Amino acid sequence: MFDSAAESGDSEDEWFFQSIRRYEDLLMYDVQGVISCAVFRNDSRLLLASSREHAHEVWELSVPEKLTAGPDAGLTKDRDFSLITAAYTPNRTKEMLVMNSKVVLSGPKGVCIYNIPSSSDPTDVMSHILDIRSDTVDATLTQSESSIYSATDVTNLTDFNFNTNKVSLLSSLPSQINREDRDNALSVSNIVYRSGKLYIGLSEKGITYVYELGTGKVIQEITAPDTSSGFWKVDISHDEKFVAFANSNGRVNVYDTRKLSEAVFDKKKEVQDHTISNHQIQFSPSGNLLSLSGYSKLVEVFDVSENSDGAEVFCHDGHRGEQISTILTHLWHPSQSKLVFSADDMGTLQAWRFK
Amino acid sequence: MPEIKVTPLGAGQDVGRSCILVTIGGKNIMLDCGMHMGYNDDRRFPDFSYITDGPLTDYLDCIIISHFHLDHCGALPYMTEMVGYNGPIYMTQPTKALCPVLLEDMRKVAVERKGETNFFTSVMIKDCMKKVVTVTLHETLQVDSDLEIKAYYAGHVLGAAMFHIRVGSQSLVYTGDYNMTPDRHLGAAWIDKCRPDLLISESTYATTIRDSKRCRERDFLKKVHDAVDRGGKVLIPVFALGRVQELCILLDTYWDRMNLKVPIYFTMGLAETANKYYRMFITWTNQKIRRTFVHRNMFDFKHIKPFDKSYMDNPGPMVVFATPGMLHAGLSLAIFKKWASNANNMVIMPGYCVQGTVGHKILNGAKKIDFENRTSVEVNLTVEYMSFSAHADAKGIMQLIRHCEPKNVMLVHGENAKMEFLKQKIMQEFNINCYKPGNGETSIIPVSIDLDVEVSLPLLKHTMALPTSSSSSSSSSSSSSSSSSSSRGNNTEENRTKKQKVLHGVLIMKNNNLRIVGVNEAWGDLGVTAHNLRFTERIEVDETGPVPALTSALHTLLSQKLGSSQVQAVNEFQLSVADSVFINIQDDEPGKTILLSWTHQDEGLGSKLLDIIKSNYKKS
Repeated sequence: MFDSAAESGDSEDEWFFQSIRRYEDLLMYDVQGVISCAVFRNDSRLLLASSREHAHEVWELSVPEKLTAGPDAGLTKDRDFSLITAAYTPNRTKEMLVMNSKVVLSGPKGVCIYNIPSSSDPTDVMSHILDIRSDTVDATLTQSESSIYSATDVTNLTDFNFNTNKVSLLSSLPSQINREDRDNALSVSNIVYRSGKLYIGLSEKGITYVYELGTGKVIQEITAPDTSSGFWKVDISHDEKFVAFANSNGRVNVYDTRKLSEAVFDKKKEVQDHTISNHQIQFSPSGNLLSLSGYSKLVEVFDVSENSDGAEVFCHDGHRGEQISTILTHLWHPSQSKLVFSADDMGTLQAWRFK
Repeated sequence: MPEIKVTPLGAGQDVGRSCILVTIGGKNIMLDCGMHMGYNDDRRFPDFSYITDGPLTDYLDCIIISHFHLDHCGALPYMTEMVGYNGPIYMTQPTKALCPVLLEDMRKVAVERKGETNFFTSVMIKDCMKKVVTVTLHETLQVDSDLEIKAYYAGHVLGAAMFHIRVGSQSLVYTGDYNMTPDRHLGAAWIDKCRPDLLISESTYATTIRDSKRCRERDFLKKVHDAVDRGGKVLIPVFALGRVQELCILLDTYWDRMNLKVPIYFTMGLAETANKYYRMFITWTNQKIRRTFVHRNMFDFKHIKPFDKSYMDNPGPMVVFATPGMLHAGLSLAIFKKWASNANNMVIMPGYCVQGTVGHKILNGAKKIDFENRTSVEVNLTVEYMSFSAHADAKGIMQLIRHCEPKNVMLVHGENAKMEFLKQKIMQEFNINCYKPGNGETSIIPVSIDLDVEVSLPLLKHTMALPTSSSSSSSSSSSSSSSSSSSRGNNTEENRTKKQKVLHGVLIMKNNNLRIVGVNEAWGDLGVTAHNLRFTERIEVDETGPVPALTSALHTLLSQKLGSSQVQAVNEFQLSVADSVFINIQDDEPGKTILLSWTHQDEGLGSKLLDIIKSNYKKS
């Protein structure tokens, strides 16, 4: 795709030439499918779910050595992804997690687990092991050391224990949530696990509930301003210092969890289409950078640490071309600093390390 | 069931050497004859003893070489001159011109640098090349009366071709190394929808998802720019026939755009060789280069100038493209020796280097190189590797399969990587089998044959005139027939408005062709007299009374059952039904005998009448 653009693009040449100064590393891959989600298994393995018309696949790829080797590694020749294991799945995958050597998939028919074959296995095909639940459509997932939590709304948040294979409903949750109508389900867009707590972000309101797993109690309620309209997503930094809200209308807020009264970061993005739901907000593994995507063809990175004033650190505009309309997903490498992966709706996966 | 047999020849570990034996339609063909660059002993050559001990001429109908890379032709002189082969060797013209150059280079390194003794000589290389017959793209070449081959453009390098091989109705395509995306100086591979029984494709990168060309180029520019920014000198050893043209265009454009003033040079030897070969084989490069070449010298750049040896000592940053590519001799090695000790400098190796060369040593991390004249050099400069060689990756293989629609696929020379998923993918998308033999393992691919059958026109007309029936009567009967016939032509799935008709005829195999004719024509064709079978059933009944009475009673009975128009009384003791079935009644004291007689065409009617008579006239 972009290779044929190579023939035409003088402007493409220009962007690439300029990129030499802006990026430390820049790599682009044609995945030949629409990437619906991606997650790192560890520093050198990336899992991708991609769909092409009616064929849905999940791949385990090895991350090119060039990206993980580090500046003192010397000569590294490998800049390509290798397919290690893969499987066809009957449905598209909305969200994915890796636990031990299993991958948990959430899609339109519920949540299930596939086995990832090891290198000593004769096959490289992942196999379906079991279904965790079949009562949800595109449930959101998060994981603790031994459990997978999944939900589509506050009344169906369950805990699947990996050791015992038992599913239990977090039944004490709904009653602690403020609802106009007892029967109103209140859908959940994200759950994030952080040291014994679940941060549960509602989709229709800018509210995140902090639920303590040990006691079963909601210990905190974090609210974004302008909570009424749009579709909300949330992320919590790894050290739990910050909570970030992003709304489909373009409103983005970050709060210091110790001082919720005042937003540390507040931005209103121009949004053409207010019905988008692929907007994503993420904290970098080191915590002080915030990345945003889904509002346009860009992935934007901001500094939300104390003295920074929320300045924009970098704007990745490598997803170019008229046919591309949005970024479907992006994610930070778990340990390499400033290394981000992003995928657009035309099947391109890009790995970029900004300066 | 006819079959194609494929055996990749190997001796142990096998990445990086191609040599595939194929038996198709009774012909034995060797595809490529490459050398493994990682070994210094016999393991670098394919194990020809698999075929036979001693000369191979009687065992092979031909050899085909896909392109001039050593892992595809490196063992050729060894095979033809040292093991022994005097048959034809097929390759494209550029391959024929370039093979001996690379073989000679490699020979020099092996013998002069590594001190090998039992290696093929320059004379052997020449003698080997005398056996070569060149092939033009898209031209069908008859190797003998049964075997034909045809070359297709493969991209990848100058002169690389994919080969279509056909013996009778069996065919296969061997891809060699190919490239499905066009680059700046070579086009993309192309093949027509030849629907071979088997497609043999290299699979080294089958499970790789490759970084885009653009990003590799960007990286190259970045490295060069970073080096000259810190005042360093950059040496780029190149093969005259590699991507030097592309890299020059790239660098020239970048320098222009970024307004850089650092000098860039190419060595004259490089330019001369490249120009010479490109001029010879202009049809092998793509449109763009052809256009450029027609209008100007290939090495006429804004910012890139011819190099002079004396510039080596100039202070300050510079970039130089120089041959040879593996740093084993000549100007590039001389420049390297001068610049290697300075940590600000950089050398960018463009690709694979043969063992024993300086290039190979530094790519493997050597920090010091010793030379024969007791001098040595500290390697402090940065060593970078930049491979632009385009191979078929997962995407490319799927594209090629989609293009030529083979009935089976075989992947060879992958790194023993597990390919279960890829096999599943090929089955899922194309519904065909994928084979992946190990070295020395033979894969047997069953081949179904399509036979051409001629249908006689009168029969066809007769069949078309019949009303379309939905009965499922079988369509063939035969007096002499061979294997099943299938009529050629369109997929009925494609056009659901076509109605199916059942053709009932005789399949005759005569003089090696097949015809379906109507039954009556068949008699004539076969010189056989038409025979008619007539059955007569003798039914004994207890009827007493005169014969005419029984005849009359039968007449009435049958008229009731079949309709009076069907049944005629011929005389007092004979009835005819439908003008072809006859019933004779005879006196047979004490009872009567009814003789029911019908021809084989009236089997149905005959059985029916028999049932009626038997059920109405029971013998006690």
